[in-house]
Amino acid sequence: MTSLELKWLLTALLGGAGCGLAGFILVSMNLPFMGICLAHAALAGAVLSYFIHTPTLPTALVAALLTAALIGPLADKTRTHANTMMSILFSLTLGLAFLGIGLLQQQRSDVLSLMWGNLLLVRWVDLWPLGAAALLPLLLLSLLGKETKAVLFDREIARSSGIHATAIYYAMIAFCGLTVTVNLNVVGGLMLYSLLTNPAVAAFQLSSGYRSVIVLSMLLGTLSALGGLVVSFVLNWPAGASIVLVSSLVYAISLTVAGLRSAPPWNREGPEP
Amino acid sequence: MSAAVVCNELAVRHGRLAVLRSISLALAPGEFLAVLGPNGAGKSTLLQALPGLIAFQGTVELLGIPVATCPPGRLCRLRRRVGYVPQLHARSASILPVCVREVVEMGRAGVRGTGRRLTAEDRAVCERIMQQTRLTELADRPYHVLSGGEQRKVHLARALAQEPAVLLLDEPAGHLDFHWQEAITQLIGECWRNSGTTVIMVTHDLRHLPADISRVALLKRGRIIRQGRPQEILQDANLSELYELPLRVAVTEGRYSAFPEEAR
Repeated sequence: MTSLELKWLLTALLGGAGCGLAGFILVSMNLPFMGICLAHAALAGAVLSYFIHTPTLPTALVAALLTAALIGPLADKTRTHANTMMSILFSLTLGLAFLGIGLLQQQRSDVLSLMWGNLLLVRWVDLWPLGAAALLPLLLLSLLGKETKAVLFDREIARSSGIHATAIYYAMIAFCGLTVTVNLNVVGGLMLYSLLTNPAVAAFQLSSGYRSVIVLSMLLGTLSALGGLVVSFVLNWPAGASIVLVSSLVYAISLTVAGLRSAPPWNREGPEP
Repeated sequence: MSAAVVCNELAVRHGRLAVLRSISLALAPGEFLAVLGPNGAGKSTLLQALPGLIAFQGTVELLGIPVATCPPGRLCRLRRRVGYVPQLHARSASILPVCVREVVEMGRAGVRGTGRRLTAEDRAVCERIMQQTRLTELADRPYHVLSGGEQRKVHLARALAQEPAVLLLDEPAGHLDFHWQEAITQLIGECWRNSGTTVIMVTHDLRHLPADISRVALLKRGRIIRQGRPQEILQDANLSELYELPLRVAVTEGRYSAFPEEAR
């Protein structure tokens, strides 16, 4: 294996696992749309960085985190459902990103690569943040296992039973923001959503255990990214689009497998009364 | 012994809407207070305000600790001694793949302390509570496949696993069939009598109250219009005023029920 192939492999491994894990968190909290909202906020932040001459990754991360921090309070204050607030912020940040790209005279291709992404153009130095984004939420879920599980189950119930639920909730969202930001140039802001959602939803279809769903989300995320990489390589297709197609296929297969499984013991018909 | 729950001039506003107005209550340890009132009276809001889950004006003291001025860390520790069962039918069900035992163990998550793993003692408490609430057989079943009644029981067990000094129950038997209404009511009565916990339960249905409760408060449009012993408060005239409907109250072996006058 050449150094270049090893780099692609590691990128797919870390990016896929990180997105699978972030997807598990967002799908568990019934907030899958948060992923696309954070992705576009990060994209807008990345575009902004070209205007204010700041480093791209940190600026994108700040934009994603600010948006994540705004969703909850804005939704509460205006008595709007979080999903509605996410739709508003998603379109606003996408509009801002397009405005920035329209106004940008130079480096437009750099910015566009963030939107479409290209796993094959990732540099060695990009692997560190990818690794950190996969590891940090995993550490949080391991070190505060019982607390994170309770918050993912029901944030208000967790808060009422004396868990620092708000801090843990925002820490999880912040880590999802980090994952989304560092994966922008791998899959791209527009297609990241599929890598966040499909592997996690497939894992929920295939497993009924808490830990196994987490592990499976990460594995299927990696499988989608690696599969996408191979497809892109063999067929000479764009990497981001290939990853989207493979992750969708993973989800379709999970549905078929879940449908074929026998009924669980508590759901089997007993003898006629 | 000092009071378990005291609130003075408690008020809650949602924007310009006053949901609760000058609520004053005092409960001794081990008392059972039933808060009765029509839909929209502010019953659930009262339960959320007591442990500081929503902002309020006035003062609340839980187990001798003032809630409004309590620093966040101390408030968290205080809530570990307060079991809260929210109105479940109003919540969207979680899709997290957890079994009954895992949900009950969530009740120990706060009590054990942040970052600490559950001990054998915690698991023993959960097993005992599951036995007491007759959930042992369902312990390994996924939470999301349970019926509404079974889920209520699991949340009651989760709150009891905290071994709480105060238990707050929000319509625990609401929206259930007759079998489950009665099962949950019996269970709440047993748990209250066996544990000596102070209980505040809100409901709009008298039949959901266990026998021999100690106190009743009638809540209407955000105000307590009557409070006292059940024998004094649960009278035809008081309940008719509360629900704006002519009602007759019946008592059988310490349990109350009410019927519209025309139905008799």
